[in-house]
Amino acid sequence: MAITDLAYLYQYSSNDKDFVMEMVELFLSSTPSFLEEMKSSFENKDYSMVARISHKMKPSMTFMGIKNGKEITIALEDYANEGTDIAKIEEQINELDQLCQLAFSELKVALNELKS
Amino acid sequence: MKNIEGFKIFAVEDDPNFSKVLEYTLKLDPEHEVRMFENGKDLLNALPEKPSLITLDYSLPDFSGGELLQKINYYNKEIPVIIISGQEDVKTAVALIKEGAFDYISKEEDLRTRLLNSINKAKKTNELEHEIEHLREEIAHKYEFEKSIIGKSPSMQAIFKLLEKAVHTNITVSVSGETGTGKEVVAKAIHYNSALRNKAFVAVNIAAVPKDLIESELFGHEKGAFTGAITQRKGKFEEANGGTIFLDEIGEMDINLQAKMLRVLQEREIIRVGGSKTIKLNVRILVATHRNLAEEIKKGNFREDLYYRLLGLPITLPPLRDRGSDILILAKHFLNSFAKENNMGSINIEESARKKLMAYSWPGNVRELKAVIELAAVMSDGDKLKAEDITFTSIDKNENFLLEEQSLRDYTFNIIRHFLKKYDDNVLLVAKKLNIGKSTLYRYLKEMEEDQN
Repeated sequence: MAITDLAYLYQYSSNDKDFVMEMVELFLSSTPSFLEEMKSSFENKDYSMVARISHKMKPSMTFMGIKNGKEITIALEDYANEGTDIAKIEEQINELDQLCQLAFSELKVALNELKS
Repeated sequence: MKNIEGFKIFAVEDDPNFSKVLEYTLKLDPEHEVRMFENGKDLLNALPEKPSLITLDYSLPDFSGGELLQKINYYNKEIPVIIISGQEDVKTAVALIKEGAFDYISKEEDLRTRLLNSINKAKKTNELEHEIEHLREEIAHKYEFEKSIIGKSPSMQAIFKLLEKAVHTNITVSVSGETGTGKEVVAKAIHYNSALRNKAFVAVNIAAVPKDLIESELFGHEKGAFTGAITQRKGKFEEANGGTIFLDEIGEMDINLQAKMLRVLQEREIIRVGGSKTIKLNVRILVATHRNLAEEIKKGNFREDLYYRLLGLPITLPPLRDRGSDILILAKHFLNSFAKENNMGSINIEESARKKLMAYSWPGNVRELKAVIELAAVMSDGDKLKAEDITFTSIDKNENFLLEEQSLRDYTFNIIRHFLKKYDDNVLLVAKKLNIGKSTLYRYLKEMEEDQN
């Protein structure tokens, strides 16, 4: 079952395929570095940075229609802002990472289909 | 104002994904020239390129939205700034709008509708602001001293000197002078040539507002302050705040209200009728009256303490009859502008007409002159204004009578003829009315008869 859904973007752009493609490409190119930055910030115990990045990723979850993505980024931002429950922060980062990896493979396929 | 370059929008957003959506949304309106920035520093460096509007992401890597807003405001507070935030936070939104943000939009909202509506609102505000600015400039132009106050007579030269003093300070100015001498014109000229020229000019004619409404007219009222006060209303003082208020016919102010006025002038604050909150005032005051206030004080109609508060720089406008050949300069001016407004060719004033204008006493002053000239222009044939085109409409008939410049003897005879006609040649009654002896009257009648022969 698919975890991404591009319906939001199609609707937003009144079915502008080029725009949707650009957005998917942008997500695929920018998100891995966000995740890397998030992980290294966590290693460095810079939890407010973790919160910031999570906050920044939130709109993308809506754009790509990633199921539970928004909820996870919100929860992660809250835990990281509190900065007390380290285990919870780590757990949410991993969950977000896994979710994004799944989204990447799905979106790569979708992108190829769009291009053909 | 729409410039040729279109509407330039600078948008700051560090997430490339959201940035893309934002750019896409902003460009939906082809009029928009959109430039994206990743951080606050780059935006600040680009401010000299004069964006028409800025959208800010609330949490940027280098600045918070609030900090950046402050810096933009410091640079130019005319640029509308829309804050776009990752979450809806009413408190932050209110705080930012208080600090001067134009709008606050959450990324969660329907961005397209919400953002474009907000930008359209900003454009409209912008257009209106420019229009107001333009109109103010136009008015200021119209009220340049040389254009609005005309006259070369020594008495007017003295007035010009005082006006120069009046515009360089914020001193209260009290303008007095007979009706029609141009007190309101002078007040406007002072405002539009002063440092406050771009602020409001609010004129209130005290005599024209019913006595029981004047207080709320001046100071405003709260909802329910009295029967009929169905909404809160700002008073003229509040409207004029930051600018100039012109209180015309101040001498007509009710004595009870004068006490309140005095308090307002002393405390520099007002309380709306039925309200309890004080509102700070920073307003320049110009007053005018056709009455002699010193006389009114003696009669007990005007408070002495208020008089001294309002006196400030007194400017007494001379009556037109004391302004010599200004009458002709003004006549020419009114004639030209009337001819221009009505697409008439240029009209010259004939010598006989000049004499007639100069001989008249102008009880209605400049206002009367304007009306007389306009009527004469209508009555004139072609390009010449003759003496017979000029009709004085003065209510005071004696003034006309005196214009004829007869000898005292002729005046006396004319008076007697007038009375005889009025009282059906009843000599006894006429003698009584004129308070002269019967024999004196007979002697005059005899002389008159001899004259006619």
